[in-house]
Amino acid sequence: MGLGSIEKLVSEFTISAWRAWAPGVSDATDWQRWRNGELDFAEQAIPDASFLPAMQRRRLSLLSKAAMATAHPLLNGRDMPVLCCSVHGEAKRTYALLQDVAAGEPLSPTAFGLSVHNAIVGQLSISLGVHAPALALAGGDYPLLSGLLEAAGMLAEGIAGTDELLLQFYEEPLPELYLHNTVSPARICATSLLLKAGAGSEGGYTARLKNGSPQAAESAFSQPEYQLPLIAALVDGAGNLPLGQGWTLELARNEDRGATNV
Amino acid sequence: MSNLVEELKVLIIDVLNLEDVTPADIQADEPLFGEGLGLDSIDALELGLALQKKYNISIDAENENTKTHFASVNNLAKFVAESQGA
Repeated sequence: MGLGSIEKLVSEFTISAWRAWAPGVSDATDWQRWRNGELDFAEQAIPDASFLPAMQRRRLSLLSKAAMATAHPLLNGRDMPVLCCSVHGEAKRTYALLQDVAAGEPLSPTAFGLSVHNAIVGQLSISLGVHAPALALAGGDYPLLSGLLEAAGMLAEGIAGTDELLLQFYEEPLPELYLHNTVSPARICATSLLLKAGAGSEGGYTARLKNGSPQAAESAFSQPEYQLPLIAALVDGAGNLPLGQGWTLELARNEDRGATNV
Repeated sequence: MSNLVEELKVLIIDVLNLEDVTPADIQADEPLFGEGLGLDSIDALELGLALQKKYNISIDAENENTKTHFASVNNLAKFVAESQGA
């Protein structure tokens, strides 16, 4: 740990709560059992978005339903900035549209509107009543780094006059044609983190973003399951994750001094 | 004509992904947009495209009559029947 001394603490904030969804593994108990090796992912499952009216739900892909299902309990009707980070976004919709273009078919206006990178965050803000800024971020090689750095900046600036924000990561399996260039996520996975400015709150986790680590991180194009180490650290209550480019995330569960669960 | 009405109801449910809606839930004379079924402007475009593909009829968005044609399933059926007969 002698190398730790060269790391510089850049930002500190609180993760008050989190939710994650993957097929067959979707609540806190499931994730604990997954972590213990007692529960594996299912082949397929449909994320529960029954909290939305059918007329809103009908346009959501499985990926956006997963994103929505993890965001909904954390927002709990409140308004705060939302930051959605994904490497590939709605790749399947885009691919289907491109196939229509290639075949000279007219394009579906619905699919066209919902294929852009900010489609999910747009639908989320409409469906869940978010009026604060809603941002879509391209994850690139290091999506955890992109998302967490942007979130830390927004918290530091107090965007929209609130000290909270919702940060999401989500990915889905890619069409076969893309597999020459990147490794496909094995399944849909979405993670939502409820972040609060500053550290030392009761409950939740203290998150520290540090720079200057010699630890390397794998690119999301070769290791697309980048959300799983984060989820594992959240389940464990502690972790030190390499984020890429010398950045690390240090997670430590805060002492819960008998405060009621939110 | 009643066959066409039923066919259009199924088409609407399919192309617009109306979960939990059955053909029997759609009243042929109720408004499709706003009140009634509660479809929106993207649905109008999607439905226009589906009619174009299935019945090979072109729809002129600038034409004032288009609004009337899309008002209800009955109107749509009349419009499709006339366009195909023409």
